[in-house]
Amino acid sequence: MITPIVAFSSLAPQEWGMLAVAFASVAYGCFVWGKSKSAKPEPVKSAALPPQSAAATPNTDAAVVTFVGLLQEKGRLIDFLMDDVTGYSDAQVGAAARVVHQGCQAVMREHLTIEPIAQESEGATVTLPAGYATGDFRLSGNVTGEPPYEGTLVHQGWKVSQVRLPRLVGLDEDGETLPHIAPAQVELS
Amino acid sequence: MAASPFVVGIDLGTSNSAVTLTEFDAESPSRIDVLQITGPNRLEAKHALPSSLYLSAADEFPTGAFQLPWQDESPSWTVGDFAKSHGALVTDRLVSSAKSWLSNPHVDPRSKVLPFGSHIPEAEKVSAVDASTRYLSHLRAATLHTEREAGRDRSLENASVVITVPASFQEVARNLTVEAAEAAGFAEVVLLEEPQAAFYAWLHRVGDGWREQVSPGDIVLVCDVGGGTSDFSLIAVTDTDGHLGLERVSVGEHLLLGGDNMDLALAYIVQGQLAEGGHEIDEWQLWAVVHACRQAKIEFFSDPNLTEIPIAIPSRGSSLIGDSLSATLSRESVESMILDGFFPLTSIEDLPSDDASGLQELGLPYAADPVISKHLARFLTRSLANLQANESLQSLVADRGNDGFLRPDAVLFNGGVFNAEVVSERVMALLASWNGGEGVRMLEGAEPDLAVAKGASVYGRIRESGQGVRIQAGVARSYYIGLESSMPAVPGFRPPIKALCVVPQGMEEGTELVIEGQEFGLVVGQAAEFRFFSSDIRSGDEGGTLVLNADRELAENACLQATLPAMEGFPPGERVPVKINAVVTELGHLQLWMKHEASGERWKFELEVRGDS
Repeated sequence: MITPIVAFSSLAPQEWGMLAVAFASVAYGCFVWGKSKSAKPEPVKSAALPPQSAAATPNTDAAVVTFVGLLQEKGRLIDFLMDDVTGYSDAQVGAAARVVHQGCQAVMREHLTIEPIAQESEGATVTLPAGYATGDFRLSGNVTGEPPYEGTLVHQGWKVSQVRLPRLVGLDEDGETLPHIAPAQVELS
Repeated sequence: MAASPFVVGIDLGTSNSAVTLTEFDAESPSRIDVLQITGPNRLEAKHALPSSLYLSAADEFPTGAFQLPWQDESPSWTVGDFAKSHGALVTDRLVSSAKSWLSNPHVDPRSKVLPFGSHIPEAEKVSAVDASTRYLSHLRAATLHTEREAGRDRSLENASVVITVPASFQEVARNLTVEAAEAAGFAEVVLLEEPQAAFYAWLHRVGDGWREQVSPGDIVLVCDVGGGTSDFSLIAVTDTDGHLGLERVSVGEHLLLGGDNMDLALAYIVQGQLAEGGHEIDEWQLWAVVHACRQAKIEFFSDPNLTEIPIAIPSRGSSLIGDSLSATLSRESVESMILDGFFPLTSIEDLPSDDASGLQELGLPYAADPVISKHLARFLTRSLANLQANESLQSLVADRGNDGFLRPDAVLFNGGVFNAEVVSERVMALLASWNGGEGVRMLEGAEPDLAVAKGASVYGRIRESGQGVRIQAGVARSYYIGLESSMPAVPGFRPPIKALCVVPQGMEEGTELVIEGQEFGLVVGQAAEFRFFSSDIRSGDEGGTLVLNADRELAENACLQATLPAMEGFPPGERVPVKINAVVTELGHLQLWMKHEASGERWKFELEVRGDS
């Protein structure tokens, strides 16, 4: 598998945060798709997966592993995370981070439509009116009384508005065996 | 739900293929994302289908790895994304550029020789026609499947199908494309030249506004630089009783040179940089670099403020952090490589070096000279010769002096490389420099990426509905049959071969022609074979025109074969007098027949590639 790698910006710490959040969203997206059940009031659209094929596809675990496999294939995410970074210089970690950033970003963009939840910029004062979508906001600090709440937007939050996961094809019906994240590679001479 | 009649437009590209679909009453064609195998057991929909075929080894992948939802059995091969990425590592099993093999004059496109030069068993190899059939078959099935899943159960019986081909495709390659399409399950297909498709897409995009961007007598250059090939055409803007019309007046030669060459050139810069630092990279890493350079190129061209882009080369093994390499690609090196390497400001007299040593390794005839500017100069020079050969063509265009080349008034760009303003600006500067400093206009509203597939759908709808402007085109080049010379044989001297024009340039769809003045005596039951020539610069020849020295004046690319069945009144061994009957069908397919005038019977010629081997 060819791993595309050009990084266009230096990697700021908050982007790692984004990666982690997005990664969590991925798993979330899989469950939504697999069980056709959503914790949120607005259902997540699953574009690539029409209902009729859902029954024929193997279990949700396999879908998660396949997606992690994509992050490894395009962005070497598992290689990066499974390594012990303590012995490396920041420059070495940075070079590898470019690979991860570029590749995983491409995968995220292709398969998920990720958007901020709050439209205001971070640091701005926001008001949460009575009846606000509680799932959209996590409150901290002096949480007392009834809404409306007024506070400072510390993190804009992330949501997924569309999931386009790869489908699994040609696997055994029972789907008991999980696919591999990445096969071992052997070059024949 | 019954679906309404629709048009399928297929851009069957050298490196990537795309599909659009439009219903007759729809506003615009919509792209169909192509479901394809992107990894073993993994199916995804992508904008384009890489035109790559991977022939896996027995037991290389688990059974079912390449099985598509519309297939009952699991094939041992796959086309598209995974075929391309995995095939880059196992090149012996990768078929790519099949389209260019269709037009290769040296190797029969029906012979099973691909992957070319590969060491896999002969029985596993495929022909260029087979490969094209598999791409088309995949596109057909994937499109119908996607539509079915969206609740539209379509049948191709309701469809008209337009497939684009390079304007440079000879009749043989066009016929083989039709053959592949039929084998792929498309009943009737219309072929459309790619530069024309780009032009139709532009017409559709700008709507009635197109009349404000051009005027009668103008010549528009369609400059199409794709991934693997470059293709040029000239379209004249005509005035018939006050109505603006369009006529394609010239097409270029097949040029295996495109954006992929640029990416590779950039990758070599990076590879050199790494080598200077003492790091050798392997094939796998080089492909990663090519891919990275393609991204970097796009990024540079879309953000004029970037001065350099870091390229990280991942390690082969799992220790990514310790073993990855870094390099930097600067804007300066990218621009100088692409602008000065491929689009330098050369003079109009500076034509590509042909390197016609005849010793070129069998394989694809890649352009020996990577300078696109020179190929463009050659095209415009040849176009003038073509125009001057025919008075009615000449009368279509405004008088433009004689500078030794046909000066275009406007340019329509197509192909991803022209997303970069610096590149289109460079071509504009080049044309202006040939034009004594006077600039040419750039047609506004071009959409370099998906135009060909969209234009195919737009054209299909115009054909069906009869509504909309059509480009007058006809057959792109004239065709000739070689006549045996009656000169006595002399050792060491090959007598010049004469050739008879059987299809004049510009012959239109739905017309036919019987060549008078020359009868052939063919023997019943024996195969007859003729040499077959073409020219893209002899617009003045008519059916029956004799060219005295065909070897020098014309290009030979095929042979014609036919066997006359037994016929009443002609005992075996006797000669039947026949005339050549050229037909261009309503679908635009060229056919040649032998016609026995007395009985009215006729027999079809088959076009065969005259293989060197």
